[in-house]
Amino acid sequence: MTVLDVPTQGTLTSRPYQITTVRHQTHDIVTIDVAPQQHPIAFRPGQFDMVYVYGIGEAAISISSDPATPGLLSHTIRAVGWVTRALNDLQPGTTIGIRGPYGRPWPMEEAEGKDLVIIAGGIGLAPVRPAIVEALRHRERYGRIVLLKGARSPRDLVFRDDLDRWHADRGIDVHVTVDSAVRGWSGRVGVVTKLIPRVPFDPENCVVLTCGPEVMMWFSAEALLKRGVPAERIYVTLERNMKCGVGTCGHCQLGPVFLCRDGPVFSWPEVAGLLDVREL
Amino acid sequence: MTHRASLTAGDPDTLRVTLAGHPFCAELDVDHVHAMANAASERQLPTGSFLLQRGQPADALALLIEGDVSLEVTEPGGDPIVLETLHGGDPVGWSWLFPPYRWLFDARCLTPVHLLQLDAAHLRGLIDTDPVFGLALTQRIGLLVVQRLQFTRAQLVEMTHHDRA
Repeated sequence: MTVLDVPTQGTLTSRPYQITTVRHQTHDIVTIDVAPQQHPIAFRPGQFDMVYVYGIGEAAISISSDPATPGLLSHTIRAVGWVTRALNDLQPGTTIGIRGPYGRPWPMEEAEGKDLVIIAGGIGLAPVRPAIVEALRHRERYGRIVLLKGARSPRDLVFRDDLDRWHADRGIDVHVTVDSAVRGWSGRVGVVTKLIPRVPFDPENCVVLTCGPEVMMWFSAEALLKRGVPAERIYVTLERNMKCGVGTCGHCQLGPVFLCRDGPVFSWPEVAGLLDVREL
Repeated sequence: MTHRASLTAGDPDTLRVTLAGHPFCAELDVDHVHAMANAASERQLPTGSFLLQRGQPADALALLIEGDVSLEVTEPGGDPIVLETLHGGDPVGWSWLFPPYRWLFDARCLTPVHLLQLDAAHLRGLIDTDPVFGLALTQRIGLLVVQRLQFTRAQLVEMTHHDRA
């Protein structure tokens, strides 16, 4: 898919949605389920919304729910700024504004017939969760499906129910690792990139979706290239202070691209050189 | 090594095959593998036992075949801090190659562990007498150290990075 293929969906006017459920994922991450007060709007895995807390402001948040049920929209949010802290404090019944969906989605069609490798660090599982759910729904379209999930510590793991369910599901090969652990954790300790050389998948016939801190994605790409994955089959999703969501304000500009309009999903060759430039 | 686990003398041919099949020995000259096999023995360790302990003589290179090991450090009165877990296919320990030949961390078995243990004095002797072998082995250990350093740096960055909402 090229940038020009992507329609600019949504408008600059948000629509009201009512919060139906607030699920606390960790001490500073919540998943908010919302239902539209008007007709639901379809989205594709990897797209994001601009979420508006009335009177406070907007933040770009990836959609973390099942694309097959656009009437129940989920956003998973870490409290890091004014808007996201406000979102973390909201209760069911509250009305918020949402506009979108925006952006280039994950290349699910390109992955068909190939192994699908998903690498997620921290809250990075949220933007790839719709892709996992969709791939499992159409399991026959893919070869191996592998999820490599990293977190800072066991208490920072998000979507634990999903991880447990997927782990028990033979349709997906789940590997979880944490950077730091104390007594009680019986899983792996170490960076998620350490899993890349040893997990079974076909490097020459796979598509990789990566989401997490930029440095994690950079290390992941290096390890994937070393294993023989073609650079153009490695996809990352980026965020740099999105404001308008439609490529007009320039806040999320990264060199020649606007992340909200041209991304947030990019193939590695599209952005690898840009991420190496300190000034961008 | 400080554990008292079962030691299998092992058939020399079997040891050579097992050693040659370990990722640490991938693409190593067959003569070098045979030389290393003369220093090797198989071990089975139960869950909870220590493969190595801080301060003890670093007298062997361990090559994990199966099982999980926790590399950790313990403060007095505190729970162990797990630095990294190692798994089947991983080598454990490089302190045997560098003075003062003492382990700096503990390595505890999280599961039953099957491993190859290579006697450090024997390996150091081979390094001294066969420079080609010495270069090959020290390059492998060097690569291992570099990889672990890179992983550790990435780990540090991730632990201090407040990732996005």
